[in-house]
Amino acid sequence: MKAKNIIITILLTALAVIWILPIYWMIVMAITPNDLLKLSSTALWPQGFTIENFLGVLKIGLTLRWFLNSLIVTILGTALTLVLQSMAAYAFAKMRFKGRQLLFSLTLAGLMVPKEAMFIPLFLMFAQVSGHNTYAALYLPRVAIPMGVFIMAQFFKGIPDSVTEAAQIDGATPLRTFFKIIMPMSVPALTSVGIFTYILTWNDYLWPLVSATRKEMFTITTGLASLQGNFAQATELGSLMARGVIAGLPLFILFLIFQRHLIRGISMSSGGKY
Amino acid sequence: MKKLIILFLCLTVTLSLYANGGAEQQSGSEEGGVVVLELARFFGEPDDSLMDSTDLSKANSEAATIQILTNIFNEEHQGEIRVEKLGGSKWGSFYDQLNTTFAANDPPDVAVMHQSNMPAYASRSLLVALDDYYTEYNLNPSDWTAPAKKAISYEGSSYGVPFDLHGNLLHVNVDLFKQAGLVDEDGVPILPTNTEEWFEHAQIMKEKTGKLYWVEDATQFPISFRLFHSLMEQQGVPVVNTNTNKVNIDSAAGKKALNFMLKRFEEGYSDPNADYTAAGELFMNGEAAIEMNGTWVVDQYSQELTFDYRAMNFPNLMGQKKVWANSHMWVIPKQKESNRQYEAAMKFCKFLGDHVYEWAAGSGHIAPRKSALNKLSENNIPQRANYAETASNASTFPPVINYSNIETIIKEEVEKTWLLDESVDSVLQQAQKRVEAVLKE
Amino acid sequence: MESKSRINFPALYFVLPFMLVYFIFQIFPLFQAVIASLFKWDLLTSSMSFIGFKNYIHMFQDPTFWSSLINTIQFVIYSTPLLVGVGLLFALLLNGTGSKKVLFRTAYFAPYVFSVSIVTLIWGFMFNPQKGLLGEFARTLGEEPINWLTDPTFAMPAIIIATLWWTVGFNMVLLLAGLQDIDPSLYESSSLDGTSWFQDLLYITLPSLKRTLGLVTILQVIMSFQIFGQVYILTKGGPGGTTRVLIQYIYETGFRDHDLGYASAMAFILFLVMAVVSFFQFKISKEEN
Repeated sequence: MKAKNIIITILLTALAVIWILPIYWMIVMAITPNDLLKLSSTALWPQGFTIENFLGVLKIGLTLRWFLNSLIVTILGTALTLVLQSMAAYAFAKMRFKGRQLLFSLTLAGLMVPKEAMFIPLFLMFAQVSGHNTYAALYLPRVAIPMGVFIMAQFFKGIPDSVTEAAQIDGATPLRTFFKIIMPMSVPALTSVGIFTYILTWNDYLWPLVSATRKEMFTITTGLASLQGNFAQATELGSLMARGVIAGLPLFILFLIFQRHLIRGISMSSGGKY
Repeated sequence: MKKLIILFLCLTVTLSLYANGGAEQQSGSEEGGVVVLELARFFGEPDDSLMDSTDLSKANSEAATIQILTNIFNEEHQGEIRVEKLGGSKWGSFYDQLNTTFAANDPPDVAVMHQSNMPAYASRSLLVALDDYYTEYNLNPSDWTAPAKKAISYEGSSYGVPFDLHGNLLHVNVDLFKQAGLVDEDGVPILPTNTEEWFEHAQIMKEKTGKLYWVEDATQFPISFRLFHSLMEQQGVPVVNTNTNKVNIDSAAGKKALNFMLKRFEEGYSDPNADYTAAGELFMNGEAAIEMNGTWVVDQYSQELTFDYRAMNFPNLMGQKKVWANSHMWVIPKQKESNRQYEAAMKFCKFLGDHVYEWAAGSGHIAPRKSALNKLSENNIPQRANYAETASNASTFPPVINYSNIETIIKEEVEKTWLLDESVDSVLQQAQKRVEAVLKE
Repeated sequence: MESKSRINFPALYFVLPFMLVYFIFQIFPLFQAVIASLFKWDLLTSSMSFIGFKNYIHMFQDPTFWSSLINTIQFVIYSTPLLVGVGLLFALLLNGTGSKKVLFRTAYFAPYVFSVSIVTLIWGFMFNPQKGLLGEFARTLGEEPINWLTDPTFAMPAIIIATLWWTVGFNMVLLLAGLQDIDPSLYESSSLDGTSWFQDLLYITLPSLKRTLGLVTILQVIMSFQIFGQVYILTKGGPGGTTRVLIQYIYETGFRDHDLGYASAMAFILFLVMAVVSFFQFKISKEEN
């Protein structure tokens, strides 16, 4: 048993090093002066040290506003997605109604539509109601992406009918059953959907680019992109990496905070089996 | 508690439906009669310290120069016109963003455009033709160089105010050339005057220094397309003849050009796998004697290279002195209403046209005005005299509507000869067919 | 209980809010795009002229469409088993509490927080023979570095590697969530029998994970069919167009060449392909259940 564990740990450690290496390299470049990187970028140890690449971004007056915009859009988008989509998923998974199969297939179909094809119709739709440069334009389309419905529906299907039936016998309304019983049971799945939605919304670039065109409405992705000159990877590689770190760091911290909800607290003997 | 959170969320959602980007106008008139001009441009942003600067002496890059110029204009026209920059795109997504504004029939008031892309908009009557307005607004078309005039014209009308020409140059490591003995008595590198000489010199360089003779981005950006176009122009055969709609890719000239390009890789005098940054690194590290790159790196190389560096005109290898160039110009999209926007936009374009000297000095691009070119030579801005000839050799691509498509096709096809081992004849035929199909649409 | 004549009101409340958003912001634009495929629709002027099935006829004669479709299918076939398999491996090994597991899970998930532009920036450098880590590594071994992004044999693998690094965390997290729903009592009874971990894996864990595994696989297939960003930035579809995927061609046609009608037609065909594939996947998983 012991030997197997050691081998597995070695394997996992090696893989973890491989996985982290590019990020480590990214950070090294982020703290290296741009000039040194023009000549050579393969060093795994910083050729020089500077915080200018970071300061260059943080000194810009609007960076805080961009962060705030991203925060608002992402929080609202994620909250709405979690609530609306899991409710719909529950109906699909656990309730019977006419047209259920059809609607569910329709919902699934939405995942298979290349968003590049719908981009312009969606853009024109908002343009017609002068809806651009608003937060709603940024988060509402995300709530419409049915990935959460699909994921949660699969997980809800796994909940035995006996649970919902028992609640019904106790006199609970479907709404109450859903929020008081089903949701708490589904924390790992909800956490997954939440994390994915949060990250994808935060990193969205093309849509905020064309919709939020005023400087004050930029998200952090478009705001940082607006700083970029032509051929930036040849002339300001360190700055580019620093911006990447700045944009990704909040998401990373968020993952650290919420990832424990992916695992159930109850000690599971399955965990000890490996 | 939960109810409170839900209430809060609902409130935020409802409020956010009305929240928008603040009081700044994006276009149109404000109180007090200030005309707000919406400006779409790339070039990036300078250091935060320069964002509000009006000090032209600090203009040492594209981003800094254009921002400072905009600030100066706003200052000079305070209370009358204010220019606001639109959007948050990096260079590669500029046209994506611009195109959506056209799609929504709400384009910016002034935009920068490449000569290569302008025909797509001009042909759809989306831009204001400016011929009648140049004299009215005190612009001086006779001061523009021939390539600049060509760049702004489409089907007989002019659609912009030229800002610069930017073309390919040779960036030369003079030290390596000296080592190879390929310099004249003044120590100026000798460049080949035809393809045979090219290979002779390349061989000498290899023997005397062991370094690559010439590198360029052979895989990433459409540099190989630009080289192909340059070589075709030098032979007097345009890639596309826009008068007859004839494509000349699969031709003797095309074969000569591509065979030359391929042979450099086959003989080992260049690197067939170099991308943009790699080519730059090879040159900066002294591993290659020549880098074919653009005007935009001149200042960077001047300031940073440790060896003796000289920017030189692209050589005449196949007959005429021609080299690929593109041009930045300022265009005025047609608006649904309002002449006031057009007036203000024209004033801004004139202002920028008046400062092409500062732009050329700050960015390394070539000025489109003869007066500015003279001034640049006189004032001894680094390297400019060394490639002054490019101002007249500059040859923009024939004005086609589907430029990006054609550019990608040619680049993709020609690189198959050194990346996929396909034959010169077959890729030229394929490229010919594909480009013809595009032109038919 | 089937209620055929009475409206199931609770179901209505549950489904309606999402459906509203969904129909307005997804179905309606989709509908417009499908209709648009029958038109010549110019991006810049928004002018539309009806041309019937001309876009589709053009598509079937367009060699770039076919090569893009084939490249996409190749990518799906090669990458899906890898992405799902590695995700499963990580999820199985890292299920449970404990700081070591937390550390590993974080390491494998971390790349997912970065945007596609940063990921491709890093891997563009990693793969570059002159200035990347992989090239350096090869040189220290005395080997010639591979031209990952410009060699037709290695370009697609390079994209798959970068994608694996970037997105395996997604699959791992979903599978972890799925593992949480396995009834622990199943293992207790098996431990009494003294079965090995391998038998547990084969006879308890994997069967119980079927639903989540099916979910992850379908999602992975759908996402792989729509791959675009990494390809566009790392290879731009090269070398010589050998890695161009269909979404890239759709993007180029619609946004670069301004031909939205044709782009919509291709998007619709891609949708049909995905729908057919998903349909079969569902059928297979239904039969197994």
